[in-house]
Amino acid sequence: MNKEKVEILLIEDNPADLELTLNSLKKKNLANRVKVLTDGEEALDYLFNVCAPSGSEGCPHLILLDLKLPKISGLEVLERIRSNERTKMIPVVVLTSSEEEKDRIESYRLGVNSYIVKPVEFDSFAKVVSEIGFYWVLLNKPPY
Amino acid sequence: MRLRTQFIITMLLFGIILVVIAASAIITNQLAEKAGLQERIAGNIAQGASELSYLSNDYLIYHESQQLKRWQSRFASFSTQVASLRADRPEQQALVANIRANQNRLKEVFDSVASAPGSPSRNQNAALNPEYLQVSWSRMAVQSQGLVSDASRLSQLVHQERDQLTKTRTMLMYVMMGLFGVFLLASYMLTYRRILKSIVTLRSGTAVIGSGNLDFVIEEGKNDEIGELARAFNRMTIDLKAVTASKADLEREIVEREQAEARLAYLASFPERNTNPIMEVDLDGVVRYMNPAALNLFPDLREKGLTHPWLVDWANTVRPFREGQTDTGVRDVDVGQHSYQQTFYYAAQDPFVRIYGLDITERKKADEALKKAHEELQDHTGRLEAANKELESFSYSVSHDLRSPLRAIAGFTRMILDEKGATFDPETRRKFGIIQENAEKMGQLIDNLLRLSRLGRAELHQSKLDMGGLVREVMQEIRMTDPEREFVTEIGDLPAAQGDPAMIRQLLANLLSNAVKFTRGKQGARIEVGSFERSGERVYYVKDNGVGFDMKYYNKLFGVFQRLVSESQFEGTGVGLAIVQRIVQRHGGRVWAEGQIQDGATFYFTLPSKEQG
Repeated sequence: MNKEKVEILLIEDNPADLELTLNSLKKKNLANRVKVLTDGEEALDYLFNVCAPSGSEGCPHLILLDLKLPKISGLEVLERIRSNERTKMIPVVVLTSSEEEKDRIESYRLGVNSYIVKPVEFDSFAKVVSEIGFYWVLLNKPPY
Repeated sequence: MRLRTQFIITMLLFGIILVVIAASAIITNQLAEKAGLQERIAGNIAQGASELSYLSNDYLIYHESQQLKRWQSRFASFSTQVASLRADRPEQQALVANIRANQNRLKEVFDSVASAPGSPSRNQNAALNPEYLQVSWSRMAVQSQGLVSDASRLSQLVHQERDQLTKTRTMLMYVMMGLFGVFLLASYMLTYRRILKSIVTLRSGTAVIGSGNLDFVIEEGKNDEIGELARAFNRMTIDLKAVTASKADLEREIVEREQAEARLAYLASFPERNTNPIMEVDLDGVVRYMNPAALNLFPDLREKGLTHPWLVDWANTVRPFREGQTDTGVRDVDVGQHSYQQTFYYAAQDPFVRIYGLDITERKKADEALKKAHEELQDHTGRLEAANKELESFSYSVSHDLRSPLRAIAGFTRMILDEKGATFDPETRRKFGIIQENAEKMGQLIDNLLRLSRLGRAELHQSKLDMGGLVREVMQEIRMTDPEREFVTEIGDLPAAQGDPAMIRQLLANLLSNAVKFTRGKQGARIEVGSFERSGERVYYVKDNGVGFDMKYYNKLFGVFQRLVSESQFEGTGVGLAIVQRIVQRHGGRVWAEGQIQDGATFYFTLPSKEQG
């Protein structure tokens, strides 16, 4: 695995959550490989830009996606990622405050790889974020 | 076997037996007679032998031709007698042969004497040699003696035989008579019994039928003349029944016709008695008949005719009848303050229209009221739906929007403590700790509230639940959160229930964790889970011996955010029992509790199965 290519795309508009997430990733030394975007439209533009037209060359190895985003909602972002040939294979983990069943079901219907509810308690939150980073970036082998 | 055949056979057997008896009598008689004859002959032979002996003596002494002739003639008759002897038995045959041999020798001796010199056949006067005479005499005497003794013996034998025959005949007669008597008795018994039995059956059967029970069937028994009689009787009964039945049919038909006529007359009175207006109107609107109710309601109908509101728009109404399209119809008309429904029946052959009127004023009013109520209800439902939607979006916002700031408060507090905590004095650290605790607590509150609101909306997925297994699982999870706690659990017999597995699990978790929580610090803490049936209802309960509660505040027990114990004593959000109540209500069951301060609490709930509603 080429470590230079490892990259997490974090799509999160809440600055507090963003800082807490980055803080937690930092503890696993993953923070310097993170690209942060704060709305859905930006995120899609970025993805279609970096991903090579053939294969998924240049794509991030993990997308951490919040559902409540300005302009384009997280579910729509997910749908667009999955419907595009260039981006459809990127592992996507939804990291949200929503415990709503309809969000969860819809996310899986659209092909999410994992659905994580942000724990309220900070310790648990930090643990969850660092475990997600560890698992998807260091342990998991992406398809490209 | 037919009786006639049986009689014939019996008579034939009688005849045969009689013939056998007669034949045996005749045969024995003949045998006896024959034996008697032989006896007589034997007697004659014995006598003849004696006589011949005397005659030959005389001849030997006197030597006269006269005596010779007498001897010869006697001998001839003697020979005839001997010739007629018949012998069947060997002993008799031997005797007869002896007799014949002796007879022949007697003849030889006598002939040799007669032909000897000096005999009368040669020389009448010549004297016989005395010596020779002596020898001849003794020889003849021997022969005669033998003859006499043989004949006597024979006679005796034949006599014995005859006696024997007579005895046998008598015996035979007795046996035959006995056999005949037995046969007579047997044939009498068989025939008499058979006939008598059949006749008794027939007689009792005919008595039953005679008493009027034509469904009775006489037992037909054997295939004989009485059986035929029974069959004939049964056939006759069936014929008789058919005749009786057709007569009954006829009578019933008459009764039915009478009833139908009465019914018709009764039906004809219907319009007269009917309280609804009924009338007959022809196609031009001329009233032909009005029942009393119609006359009472519309006294001016005949006079006003088509201008009366009852017959409004008559021409258009009857057009379909006139054109033969249909013969029925319905319409509503208003007469004064009343509304009527008119039902038409068109009798084309007459032709007129029969109108059945029905006052529907009340019904119309009720319909309108119902319609109004329905509209109101729909309006209400719409508002409720809107409110529900609002509530849903509110809870969604709560879920998403309230949790993020909380996490920020808790998270950043933690970060401050991590980064700068070492430089804080203890009091500052304590206060930061309080911020953290409360942030966490608020998070739990929000989670519980959301759970409660979701319970109200979530669909029930009913299935059969192993309550015992569920209780044990939940109990184990609770024990794992605090393995140090010591308490005794007693899980009784818990029958299966119908319910949503996730919800019932939540319900049990709340009740059991409450029980564990409120027995904390109690010596001999004990939690009992059980079930019983009361008035057809299955009741489950969770009982503890913890701090209990005051029944005075029972109405607050299941309320949201209602707590009956201070938080410094027992932590909690005050939502747990509200959730329990909501789950039980969603299942259509009931939940209630009993408690006493410092003396434990018992929570009961019922879960009706789907079928019970």
